[in-house]
Amino acid sequence: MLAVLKRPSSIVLALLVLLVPAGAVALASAGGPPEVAAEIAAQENTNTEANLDFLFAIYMITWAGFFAYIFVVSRRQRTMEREIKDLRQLLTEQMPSGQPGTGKG
Amino acid sequence: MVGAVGPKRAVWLVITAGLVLFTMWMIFEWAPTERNLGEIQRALYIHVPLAWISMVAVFIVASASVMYLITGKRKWDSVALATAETGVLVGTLMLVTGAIWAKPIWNVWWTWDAKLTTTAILWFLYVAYLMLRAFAPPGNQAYRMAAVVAILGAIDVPLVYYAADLWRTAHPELLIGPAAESSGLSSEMSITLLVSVVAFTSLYAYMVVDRYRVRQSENELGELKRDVRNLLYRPAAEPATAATMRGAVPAASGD
Repeated sequence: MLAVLKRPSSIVLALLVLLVPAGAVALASAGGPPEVAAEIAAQENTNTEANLDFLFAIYMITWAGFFAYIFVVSRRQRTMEREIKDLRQLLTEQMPSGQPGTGKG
Repeated sequence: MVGAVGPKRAVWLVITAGLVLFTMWMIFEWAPTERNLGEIQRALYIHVPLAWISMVAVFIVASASVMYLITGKRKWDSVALATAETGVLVGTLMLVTGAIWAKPIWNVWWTWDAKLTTTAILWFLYVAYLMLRAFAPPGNQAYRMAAVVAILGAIDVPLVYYAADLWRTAHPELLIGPAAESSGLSSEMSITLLVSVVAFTSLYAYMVVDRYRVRQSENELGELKRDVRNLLYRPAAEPATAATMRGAVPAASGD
C-alpha cells in the first residue's frame, strides 16, 4: 500500500478509474429523486435533462486536463531524477576528490 | 533528491482525492436541479472553482514575482513559475468550460462580453509570461523580465473580478470573493459550491507543489550539467576539484 502511495501516477490512475465510472453513473441518475425533477420540469415546462452532453463534456475535459498535466509533470520528474542520478555518478567517478560538484541533493 | 511522494504529501493526496470524490457525489446527487437551467447548471460547481483558482494563481504569481524582484532569491522565481504554469492550465479549463456552458444557455460559444474579454486578456498575458520563460535566454535578466510581466498581468485581475459590476454584461453576478452578493442559490447549492472550491483548491495546491519540485530538479540538473561541462573542458594541468569547478560557473547564468 505504501509503495503504491509513493507513486503519484498510480494514485492518479486509481482516481481516474474511480471517477470516470462514478461520474457516468452520477450523470445518468443526476438530480436527486427523479420524481422531484420531473415535477419541477412539468411545472416549469422545461426539460431538466436537456444539454446533458454539454455537462458531460465540461466534466470530462476538466478531468482529462488535470490528469494529463499531473501525468506529464510526474513523468518529467522521473526523467530528471534519472538524469540527476546519472550525472552525480559520472561526477563522482571522474573527480579525484570524489566530491559530486555543486548540485544539491 | 526530490524523488518519491513523501508520507505527508501522500496523505494530502489521499485526502484531496477523497474530498474530490465527495464533491462529485454532492454535485450529482445531493445538490438540487436548478429550475430554469436544468442539469447544465451543475457546470457551476466546476466553472466557479476554476475561476476562483485562476484569480488566486495570478495573485500568488504576482506576489512571488514582487518577492523575487526584491530579494533576488531563486525560490520565489520557482514559486512564480510553478503557479503560473498550473494557473494557465486552470485558466484554460475555465475558459473552455465557460464556452461549453455558454453554448446551450446563450446560444453562442463566445461573446465579447466585458467579463469574458478581460479574462481572455489575462489568459493571453500569462501565456506570454510562459512564452517569455520558455524562449528568453535563461538567466537572472529573463527571470526579472518575466516577473515584471507577471506583475503587469495582475493589474487585469480587479477588472476581471468587477467586470460584471462595472459594465453591462451577460455574465451572472459574483458568487465568490469579497464582493459576492446573494445569488439566489439554495443552501444546498451554496454548500456544494463551497466544498467544490475547497476540493479544487487543494488539488491545485498539490499540483503547484508538484510543479515546484520539478522546477527544483530542473535547477539542480542545470547545475550538475555545468559541473560536467567544466569537468570535460577543464585545462589538462588543473586538478578537477569541486572548488575550482564552482569558481568556473558564471554567476548570472541560469539553468
